Amino acid sequence: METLRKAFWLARFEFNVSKIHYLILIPMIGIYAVFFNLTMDTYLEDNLFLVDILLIVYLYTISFMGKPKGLQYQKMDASFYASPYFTMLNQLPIKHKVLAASRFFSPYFAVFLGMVLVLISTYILSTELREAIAPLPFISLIFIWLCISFSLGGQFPASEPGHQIKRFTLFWSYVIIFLFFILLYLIFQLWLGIGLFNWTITLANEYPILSIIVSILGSGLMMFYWFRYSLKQIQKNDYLQ
Amino acid sequence: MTLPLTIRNVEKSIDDFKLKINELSFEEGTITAVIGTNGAGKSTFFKMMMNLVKQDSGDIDVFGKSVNGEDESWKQLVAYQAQTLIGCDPFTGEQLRKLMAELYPSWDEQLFRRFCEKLRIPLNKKVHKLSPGVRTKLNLALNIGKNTSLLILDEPTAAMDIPSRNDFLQFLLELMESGDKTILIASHQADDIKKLADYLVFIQNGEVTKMLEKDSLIFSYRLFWLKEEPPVSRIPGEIKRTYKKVILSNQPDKTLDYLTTHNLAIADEQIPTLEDIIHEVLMEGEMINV
Repeated sequence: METLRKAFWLARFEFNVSKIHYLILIPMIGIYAVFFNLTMDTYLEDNLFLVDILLIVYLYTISFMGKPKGLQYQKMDASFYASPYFTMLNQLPIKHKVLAASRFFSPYFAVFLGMVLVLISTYILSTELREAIAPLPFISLIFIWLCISFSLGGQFPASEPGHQIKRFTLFWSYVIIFLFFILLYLIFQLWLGIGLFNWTITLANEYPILSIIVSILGSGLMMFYWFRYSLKQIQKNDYLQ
Repeated sequence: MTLPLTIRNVEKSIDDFKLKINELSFEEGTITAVIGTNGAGKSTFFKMMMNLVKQDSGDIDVFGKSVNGEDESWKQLVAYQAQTLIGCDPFTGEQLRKLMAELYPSWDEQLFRRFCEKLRIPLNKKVHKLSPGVRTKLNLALNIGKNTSLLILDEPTAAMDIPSRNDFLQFLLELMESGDKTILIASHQADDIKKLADYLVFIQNGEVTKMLEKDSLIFSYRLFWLKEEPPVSRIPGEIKRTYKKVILSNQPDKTLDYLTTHNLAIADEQIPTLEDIIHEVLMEGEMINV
């Protein structure tokens, strides 16, 4: 509890300079809500894959939108990428657990705001979505997508301690992203015959409570994994900058 | 009594560079200057003490606690100033002050304010809008305000104007008056080292010397200005000869004996400057194996 309290204090300190950046979320939420509204009809009928892709791109983007450039993960020297702000905090008397935990508040706050607002806006704008899911299961849908966002978006705060980027690291990262979307297409579009977002609508409609429980458990495990990964990186890295 | 900092048999390899420290103990109430050429490993040496760079082998203890251990409380006793202030760009000096005051129980608000006033550091401007010199001053103010028992300063006066540098040196000397502070400072400024340091540690080709008492080191060298050129190419103790008649010796007694025995007249005899000695040690490898 003490770890979380101190981590929250650090996150609040960071929020003093990053709060203005949360304003960027407003036009993003608007653009995506309009896009989802315009495409929802086609998506629910024909499983338009582009909607699933953009939903995932959106949740990744909002994870780091709330941070000024100086706090973001970036190139520190020829081969080392990290957050300079993290590097500075690591020189101070802050326990590694507190430091690692503190990194998650800001992106998760942005993800929470961004995901909840875009889903609610789309629900208000789109008649097709309102017809596809009633208000109570829709709450379950919000939970599912928040948990997916926390699970995937956790890799950004977990990366802040830094990585040695070797010659082909970036290339392999792009390959992994490409393979992820291929896998998504194969599993949902080809195998299940339904889009990812549409599939979560079905889950929320048919198993609203179970979906919430499984989502929370799954994202809890993923968040713990990212937290441990972050601690491992702190121990492993040499901060020569 | 627990020493502020002890280092035993530490080794670190980074690509083809290797840093090796046999044994060093830093006593309370002393200032030690760490001296080396650019890229000699001074910053890596400091970062290992802060556990920012992990040693391959050996032990580093700060106030009796291993820097690699689970207990990270030792960090509250250390103020570390890296060469550049990174990760602070979006913050103002005032915001950074709040952060440091929260994290360091020993934070001295009055000392911090006094330092900022003396060096005219604007606290309401964002760091990215400050000139490199003012950034350095702010960085120093924050580290002095921490009022910790151990200060590790990596080239703190680089990019600072002369009046500010003098004020900073005065502040450091004032801090030392309490007798419970220990300072490690890396500097290329011979004047800073001369004014501040009690001990010197040289880093050369990845090898770290033992601690050398500054005054003893200075007095172990002597410049002899001879009236005529000596008949031999190298006389006992001689490490350098300039203008054919000026002998720099690191064994002055032996040199003097030789000169007296061989009736070589001495026009003048001087203690060389610290800068000259540092030059000899760094460029010619003198004293490195002392």
